[in-house]
Amino acid sequence: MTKRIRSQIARGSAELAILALLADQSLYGFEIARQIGERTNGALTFTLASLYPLLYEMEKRGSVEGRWQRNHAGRDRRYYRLTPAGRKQLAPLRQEWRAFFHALDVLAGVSHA
Amino acid sequence: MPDWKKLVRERLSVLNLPPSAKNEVIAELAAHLEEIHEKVRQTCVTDAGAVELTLQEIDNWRVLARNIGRAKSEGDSMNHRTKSLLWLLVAVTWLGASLSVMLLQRTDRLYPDLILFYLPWLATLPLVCAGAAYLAQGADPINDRIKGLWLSVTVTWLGAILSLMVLDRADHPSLVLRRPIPVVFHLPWLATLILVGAAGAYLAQRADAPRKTRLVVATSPALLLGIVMLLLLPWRFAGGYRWALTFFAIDAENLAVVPSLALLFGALPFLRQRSANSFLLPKDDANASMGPTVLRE
Repeated sequence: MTKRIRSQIARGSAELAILALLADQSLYGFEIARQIGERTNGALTFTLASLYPLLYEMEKRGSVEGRWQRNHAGRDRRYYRLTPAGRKQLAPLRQEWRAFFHALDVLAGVSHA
Repeated sequence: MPDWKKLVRERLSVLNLPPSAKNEVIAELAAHLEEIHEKVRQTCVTDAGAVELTLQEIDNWRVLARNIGRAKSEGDSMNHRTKSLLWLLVAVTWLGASLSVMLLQRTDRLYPDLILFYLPWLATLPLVCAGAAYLAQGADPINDRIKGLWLSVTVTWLGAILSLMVLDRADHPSLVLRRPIPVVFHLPWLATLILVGAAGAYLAQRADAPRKTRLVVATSPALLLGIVMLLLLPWRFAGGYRWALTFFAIDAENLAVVPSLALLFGALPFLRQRSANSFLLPKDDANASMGPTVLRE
């Protein structure tokens, strides 16, 4: 697999993870990274360097929007939430990944591995 | 505990964003690091150790600054395609203007010396391209593409052209092939091109350009001269020159094919080594770090 394909898969999966997470609640960067790590038992982890450029790009594209708010500890944090456009993207993106994994399963028997 | 805002501000000094946007990014990243530090501090004995572990979140601050700059700024100005079209338009316009002036002023002569006469002007082409690319890049002007490609091309191009102009005006040993039409190869220039090719490939290598890019950079003077000659070819026919193709072949041999071999020879030592980074595979590969960073089994 080339580096290009790897990076596209990583990037696509990262976007899906963030969109799916923000579909339920507004979160700030650290919480997004923490929850993705926890929910996937550490299979997916974000570093600061991998998270913020992607968040900013998604924000630029209008999938998410950020707003400064106080968190439960009284600190100012920039919370991200899905925009209507981001919410629209989520369903087809899920479908694409479902099809991708199905195709991979047919080829490589991933679900039986 | 360190002053995270100060630390992030110092390390992201190269981040080229408007002050308000930059301050916001710094505040957000500092807050993130602060939370990681607090979490790590609970399991780490020393604060210094916790700080060190926290900073492992960022491998390369410069890359982070570049990725953030790109993510934040592109939407504000032009997209990548528009930028590419812009500098291409500028380059083509410049080349077209240069050729037009040549054609208008020297309609009676069309031979290699015509090209040589206007080469100083044409030599500015890569500089103009670099300037256009610089402007088009907006928030991330001093990037790898400019440093690695345009600067190297400019140096290589100017080295090849200036040496040709200087050496062309002096008596020097030359190799003459007696064919139906004699072909003269300027040996000192070809020798100089070996050094020029080496310099171009070396500069591109220093900027982590991949092998193909180093090859293109090193041979760019010959490639550009070849393009110029191709552009002149229709006009040669229109000018009613007999033997147009023969002279074209001679010019191409003299100014493009053989020089490219000399340039390539000089570049060879710098073509062997693999590049460490993914230069000129810009977006996807440079942004590879944007995905989740660990996929554990």
